[in-house]
Amino acid sequence: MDCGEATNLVLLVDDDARTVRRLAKMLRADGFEVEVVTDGRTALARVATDPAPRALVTEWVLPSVDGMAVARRARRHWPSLPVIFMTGYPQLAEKAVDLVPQPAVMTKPVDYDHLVNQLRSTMGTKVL
Amino acid sequence: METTLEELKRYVRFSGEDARRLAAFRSVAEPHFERIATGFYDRIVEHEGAASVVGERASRVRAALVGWLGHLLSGRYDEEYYEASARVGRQHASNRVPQRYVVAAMSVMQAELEQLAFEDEDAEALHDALSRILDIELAIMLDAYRETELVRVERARATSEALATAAENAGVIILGVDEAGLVRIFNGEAERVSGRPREEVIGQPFIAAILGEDEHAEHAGRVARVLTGEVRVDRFEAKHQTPSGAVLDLRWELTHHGGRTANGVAMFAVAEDVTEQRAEVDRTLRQERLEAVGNLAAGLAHEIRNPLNGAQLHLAFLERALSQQNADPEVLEALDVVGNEIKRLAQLVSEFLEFARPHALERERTSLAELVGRVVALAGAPGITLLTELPPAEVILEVDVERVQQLLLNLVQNAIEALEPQGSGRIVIRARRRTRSVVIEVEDNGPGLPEDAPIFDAFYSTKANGTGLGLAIAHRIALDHDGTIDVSSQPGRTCFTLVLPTTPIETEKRKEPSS
Repeated sequence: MDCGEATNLVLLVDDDARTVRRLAKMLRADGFEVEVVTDGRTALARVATDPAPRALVTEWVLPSVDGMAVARRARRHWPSLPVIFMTGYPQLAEKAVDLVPQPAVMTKPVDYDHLVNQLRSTMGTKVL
Repeated sequence: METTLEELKRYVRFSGEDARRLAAFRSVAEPHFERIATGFYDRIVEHEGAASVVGERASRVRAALVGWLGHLLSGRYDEEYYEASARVGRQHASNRVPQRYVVAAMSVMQAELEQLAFEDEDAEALHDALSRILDIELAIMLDAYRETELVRVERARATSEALATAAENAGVIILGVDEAGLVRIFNGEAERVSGRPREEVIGQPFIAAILGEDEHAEHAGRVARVLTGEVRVDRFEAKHQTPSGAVLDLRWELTHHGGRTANGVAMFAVAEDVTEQRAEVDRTLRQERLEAVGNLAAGLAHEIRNPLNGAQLHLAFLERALSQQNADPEVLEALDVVGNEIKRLAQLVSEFLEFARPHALERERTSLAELVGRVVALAGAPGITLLTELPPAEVILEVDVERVQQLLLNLVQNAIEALEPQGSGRIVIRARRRTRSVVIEVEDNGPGLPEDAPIFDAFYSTKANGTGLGLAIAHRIALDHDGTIDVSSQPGRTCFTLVLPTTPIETEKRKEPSS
């Protein structure tokens, strides 16, 4: 089932713990529910279990597992889950075009307002 | 028309009567053929020189002699007879039997037959007949030898000519050098590469002729050693500058020539143009180095971008928190400055990556007019006149559209910034087609660039906020397309010229069909 019980849960995956936690706090202040995962393996497990997030925001380069693997796995469970890659290696992420619908790619450093707009527009168009 | 045989018979006065006598004589002589043949054979085997010629073909030689004796006394001396005799002569000539041996053999046969002829009732007439037929045989044999020799010479000449043509037209430089180090042979390719005609070079020292004076000292020793035969073969590479200024890499092979040729060549010097091969190797090495640098750059970029991300995010948080707390405007301004600096760093990282990372071009077909149109639309130059001068016929390019667009936009933006201080000015984007390329110029009437400024160098910038990579990137993009970018500048006129080869290119005339 595609629509999770949580109405606007954002799943954040990045191993830069301090920054990603700050981001989570800011997103919560702006009305999102946020879960934070700071390593790839945990992320792989998380994207295979409920509750389904309404969006996945992940770095591409993670220790031991890459963001692409996380995204792919998430899409297996939730085929139209919005995926945003946040990364210092945009050229790699841009090559991962075999996921449909295509993930968005944002290059670090990411503009916070830009990210929020992106989240609102993709999550807002989901059919409940 | 008289045949050769008829002519010969006429000269020696060989008559039908002679023929009858010889035919009659045959029954007398025939029982002795074997004996005569064996006797002759034994005699020539005694003599070393002949033995080597005859060698293992002993029985065949004896049988041949017996056959010839029968042939001689056959009684029928017609064209068939002539042809058979000529055939024997040609065989001897092909086997390289020295003529004098054949003459000696005939002389011996004659003596033996004359011995037997003594018994005849008309010995004198028979003797004459034998003499005449043997004269005819001799003439036929001489002719056969001459013919065979001519054919051999002709073949040798044709082979020699073919080899000479091959050497002349070969795609390698071929020189023959004599003992004194002077050029004796100078082939077509040597002429082409050195730019000097053969006549000018023959008799001149080899080294000066084509090795060039710079190479002289280094290679004089090698050449000397091969000339004398101290070294049989030597190989080395040397650079050569052609008359047109191109520098070629030549791979030389010097070979000592064992014997002397007709023109006294003691050494052959053959050279292959390996410039392209070398360039290919260099290109590959350079490519690999660039890729290594590119990967390093990408890694570094990632490493820098992450902390920038953290900084930017926390800054966003600070800005919110402080403005909610009504902080001092100066404090907020400071945060603004930090934000801009971070953005600048991020921009620098991106541009550096663009510059340092080799990337395959993604070529697309686009119309020149459309490309320039987009650049103009994106540029936006309030207060500045932006004009375009494009060819009337549509020009299709196959280029990496995004990158070429970026390049042109870069140039236009530079021009805009150059004109900003004076508040107004004119920028012209001009393009024209050449046979195999397109030339695009971006010209402004601004104050110009400092003289001799290394503007295409990375990190050179005349602008306060510039990263200094814009033109370096433009240069990179031009190079990636196998094109060039140059600038000419003086106060009042600065012009950047971009040349892009076209692959492939079509020009479609708008209204008329192409003629």
